[in-house]
Amino acid sequence: MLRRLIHILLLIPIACIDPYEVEVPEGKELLSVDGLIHTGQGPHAITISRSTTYGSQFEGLIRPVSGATVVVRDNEGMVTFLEEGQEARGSYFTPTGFRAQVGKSYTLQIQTTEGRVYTSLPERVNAVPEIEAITMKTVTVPVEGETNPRSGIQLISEINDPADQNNFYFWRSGRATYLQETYPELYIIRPAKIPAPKACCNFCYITEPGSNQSLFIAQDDSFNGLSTRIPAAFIKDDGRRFIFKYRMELRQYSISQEAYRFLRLIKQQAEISGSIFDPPPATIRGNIISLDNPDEEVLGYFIAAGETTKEIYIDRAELSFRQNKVTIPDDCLTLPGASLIPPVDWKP
Amino acid sequence: MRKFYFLGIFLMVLLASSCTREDESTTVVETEEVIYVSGEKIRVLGRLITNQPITALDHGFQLSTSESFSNPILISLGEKNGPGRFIGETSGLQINQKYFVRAFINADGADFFGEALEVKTLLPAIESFSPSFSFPGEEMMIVGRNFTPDTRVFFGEQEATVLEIAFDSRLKVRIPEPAGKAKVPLIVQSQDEKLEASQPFEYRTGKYTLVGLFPGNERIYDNVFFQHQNGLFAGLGTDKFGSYLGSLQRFDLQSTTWSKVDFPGETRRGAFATAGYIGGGARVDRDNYYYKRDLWKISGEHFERLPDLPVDSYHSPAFELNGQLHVVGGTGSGLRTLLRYNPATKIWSSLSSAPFDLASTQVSFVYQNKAYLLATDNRIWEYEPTADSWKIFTKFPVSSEGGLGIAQVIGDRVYIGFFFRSMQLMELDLQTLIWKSKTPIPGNPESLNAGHFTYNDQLYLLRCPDRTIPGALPMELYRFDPNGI
Repeated sequence: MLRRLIHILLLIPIACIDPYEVEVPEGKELLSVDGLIHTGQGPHAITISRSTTYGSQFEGLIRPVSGATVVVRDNEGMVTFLEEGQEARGSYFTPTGFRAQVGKSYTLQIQTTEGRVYTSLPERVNAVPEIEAITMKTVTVPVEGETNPRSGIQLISEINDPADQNNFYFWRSGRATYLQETYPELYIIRPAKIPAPKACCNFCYITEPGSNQSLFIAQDDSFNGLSTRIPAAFIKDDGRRFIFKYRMELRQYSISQEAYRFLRLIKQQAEISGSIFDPPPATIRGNIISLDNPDEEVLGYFIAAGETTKEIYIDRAELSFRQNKVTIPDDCLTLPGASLIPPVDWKP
Repeated sequence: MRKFYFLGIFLMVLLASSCTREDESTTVVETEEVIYVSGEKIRVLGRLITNQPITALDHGFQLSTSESFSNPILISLGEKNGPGRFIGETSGLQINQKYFVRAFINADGADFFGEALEVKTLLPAIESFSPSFSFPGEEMMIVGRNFTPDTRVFFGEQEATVLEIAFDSRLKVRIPEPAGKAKVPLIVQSQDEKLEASQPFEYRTGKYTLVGLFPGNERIYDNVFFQHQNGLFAGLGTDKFGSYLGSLQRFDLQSTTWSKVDFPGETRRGAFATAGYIGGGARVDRDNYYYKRDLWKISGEHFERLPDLPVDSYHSPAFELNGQLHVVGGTGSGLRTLLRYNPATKIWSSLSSAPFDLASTQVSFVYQNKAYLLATDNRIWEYEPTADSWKIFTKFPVSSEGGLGIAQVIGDRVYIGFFFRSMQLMELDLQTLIWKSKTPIPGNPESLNAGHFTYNDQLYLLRCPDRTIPGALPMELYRFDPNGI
């Protein structure tokens, strides 16, 4: 009897513990602009959204700014209207055929449906040196408690930096394609786990958009006028990509000094690891200004850049370490971006 | 003692001087950047940087054509409390003019100026305009650069109404009435700068004149029509009650009078006629077709009987090539049958079948001794009589649904249109194969074509109200000048 009473008494203080809720003051819904126009093939996208309060949980949703009038204007007064994507609300696209021109300056102008007008500071397009070659190396990162390290490949861009100007580089991963093998004969109907082998298909070409989770930037202070090799992308080995052939397009941009500074600050903030040497978290001011209230805080940056691209084909044998192959017991056409036919420009 | 006295004075001086605080206040005005410049407008970004509370009585920008800022244009933004960015904007500047701009602030009775920036206003330019071919009253969009609010647009000498200027680059104008010319230069004037578009604007042409009414308020359907010299003939077929007509009416283009012409053959509907022949057709009694195979040669108002057709012909297109009659398709003998009548030998012969079904509801025309026929899928086929071959020529660009249209050649242009319940007429340049739309025909949109002719480079159109339209509505004869405005 006494033992039961003790158990009941022990339950009382447990039930009294309240979960700790982080009280976050109501944040402003700041306009956020993310846009890049360049000298390459379009359409180029400008994404406009409004920020929301972030606390122990999302207080709201990041809302796309829809229905705005968005134009890009060059320093000669030529205006290009951008059209909002039907399936990507808040993303505005340049017309087909639009390309920025080296030597020209561009400003972005946004008029929201509420009548508020925003403009960017002029961004000048600088010429970009070609990617002479792309090389790769396998990167492994030990994971605590795991026998297998995380791994992937690092792409290195080889460039001949022009000596007559200060250059600022930015890289993005373009679309990637790889051959994927699956096992439709092993397909089972879940959750009953009834074997239901499928006749098709084992091999598909998977095309996926570029994943740009890290920022790759550089300035030529230490290699001005020299040929150099700079890390330009990282592709995670997910056990699927590097089983056969993998192809990726690397995009190299020549950006302005101000854009470089902005991206460097973003990179610093994104790479905060909790160390005492980390920079303090701060709002990074971009190049977008409200014409109605110049002191309004606007996030993001409008970049105008020169672009060059190069493709690289990677064979599995080139990797010094590979993740175990992921077995997919289904028709490969069920995977996103899958096709039985290789892309027309697939020339491994 | 004296030493202590001087030491005391020195210490007191030292004490006093250490109490003096250095004034470290800084107030800086920056002219940061010209963020917008067009033909007559400029927008500048400035910034006030200070480390102390400040209330400026006024701040803004000065703009001048001289570096010394004599007689500056003032962009006053009023009072400003505390540091921060500010944006000034002004318009009404001279295009293509160099200006100097600097930020200023008036605080504590003093003026602070930022560094002067040099800026040149831009020249306007036309990039493109659309449509390049249209008619008065329609809207046109001119895309360009740096248009000023006083921009005027001229179509030749005629000034257009400017409806909107958006982003200094999009001019929406209403096309003015023409001043007698179909092709006119498009001129845009911003301030004193006159710009002419690289391509002229072309008015849609075509002028209709009502020449006369068909005699006796009569309406005819399923009739034949042909032209002989300056006489336009239309007749046979049925009236609006379905009664068969045994005669034709001739319109004299000189006297503009109508006269009745008797036809020696039997009454019929769905017959064919060319400039030189008339024949075929049928009397239709409910579902019974009584085909007429008789063929007649037209000699003015007289008709000479020729050997009969070898087959039935009903709603068959017919045309003359090399002086020989060609009858094709129709529902009598086969929708693809092509027959040729040689007047020298008086012999009918069978030729290559048409590659598509044909009836007189579809239009045909002859150009440079080749026949062209419009198929229901809008493709225009060319028939070459020497090689007896068919090939696709071009495609009709608008709907021909319902058929019953017209096709007439004037010079190197063919005019096709007025299909069932359509008032649209298209012109095809047979050399360049470029289509242009012409002015729509006036009158009732439900009218049908009872005849179409050409004379002196003009079209003549006999329009008949649809059988379903009640009332004593007469048939109208229009003259159409393709180049008229």
